[in-house]
Amino acid sequence: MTSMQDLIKLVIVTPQMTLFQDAVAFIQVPAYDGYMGFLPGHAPFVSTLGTGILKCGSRDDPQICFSISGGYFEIHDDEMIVLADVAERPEAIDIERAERARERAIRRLTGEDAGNWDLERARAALARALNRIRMSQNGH
Amino acid sequence: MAQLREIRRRIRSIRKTQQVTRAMKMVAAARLRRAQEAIVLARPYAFKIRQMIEHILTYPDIPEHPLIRASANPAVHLLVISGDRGLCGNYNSQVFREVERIAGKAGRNLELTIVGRKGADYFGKRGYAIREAIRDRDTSTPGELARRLFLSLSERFLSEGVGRVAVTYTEFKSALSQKVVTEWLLPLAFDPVDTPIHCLDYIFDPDPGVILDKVLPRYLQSQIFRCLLESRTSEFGARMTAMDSATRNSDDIISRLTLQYNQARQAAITKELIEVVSGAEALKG
Repeated sequence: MTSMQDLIKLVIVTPQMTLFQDAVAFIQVPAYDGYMGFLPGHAPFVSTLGTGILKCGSRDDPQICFSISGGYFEIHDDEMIVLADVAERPEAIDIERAERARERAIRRLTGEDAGNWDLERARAALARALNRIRMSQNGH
Repeated sequence: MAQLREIRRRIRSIRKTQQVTRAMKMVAAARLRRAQEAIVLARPYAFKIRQMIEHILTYPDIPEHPLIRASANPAVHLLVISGDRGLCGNYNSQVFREVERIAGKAGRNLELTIVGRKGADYFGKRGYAIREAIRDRDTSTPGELARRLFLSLSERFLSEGVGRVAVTYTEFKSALSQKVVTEWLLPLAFDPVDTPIHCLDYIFDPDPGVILDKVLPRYLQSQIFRCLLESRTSEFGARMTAMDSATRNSDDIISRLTLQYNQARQAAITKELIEVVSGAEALKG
């Protein structure tokens, strides 16, 4: 039986809803500078979120994943709040939509689609699409 | 006889109207339930993002962010959230009255962004300074709309076209009660936190100024999103109540007309009887 001391209370919220709320043993976050891991007892920390896969695990379920894009997180006193712009569970991902988004972003970035596209946004869209595809293909 | 047919026709037509109002009431009730759930689900984000900003702001030596900075410019920009459609009681007209009250005080210094066809029509005819009118509110989701409004409003504020930005929307209290309120959006205001010391040992990556730079716009957008959700839910509530009372009104009218119809029928029968009887009497005599 684990005591509360070696768990982190994790809350993942998006503008639309609360996606996840539970105590977990570790958390891996796509942070500003790349992936970061958090264990219980971490110092207070605030950072922004990139695009990637958030992994966390409880003793019962060692691998819980979310595809995450943009936002912020804060950890203090073994409580982590993730404010994600977009967050999805793998089973909620629409793989066909992600494929279409990837094709569209690639066409825009390579200049195949004529038009005055915002390249920064196209790049971000490509990263999101690839992230979703990767996560749903790994099957978790 | 002509009168009888006339009454019967009216009863039939009111029954048809009643079917429509009853259907609209059902639709509004179903949408209201979903909209209400959306408000509840969206609440944690708005609350947590505010909390996080308050934490960051306790950090010393943070450069004052442009979205927080007060301006001396007296011009005010007002975001008005109304509906696309009528048949919802005084939902829209209450918003109009509130905006007119504000306009009475602000005078020339007021400009509007209007969401909803009803509001765009109303203020368009009355010579207000309208910067933007979104007439097809219902074709985009609240999330998309919030993003669009956030971009144009913050641009207007940051380019110092106006000194303050406010929003007039309808707060949802319950299906029976909605209240029109006006709140300041920009510059953003935060209450000082009581326990600033404990935030000093926070680690920020990137540094707090950069994080704030990203969080504050998100917060503003989530505020606008919340107002849109509240207004939408209020509109469904108002429509449900209005259509419910319309349905009940038509019930009243139908029962009054039925009474009238029966009385007229009775009178006609009596008249015919008298005619028959008096005819028979005349023949006898």
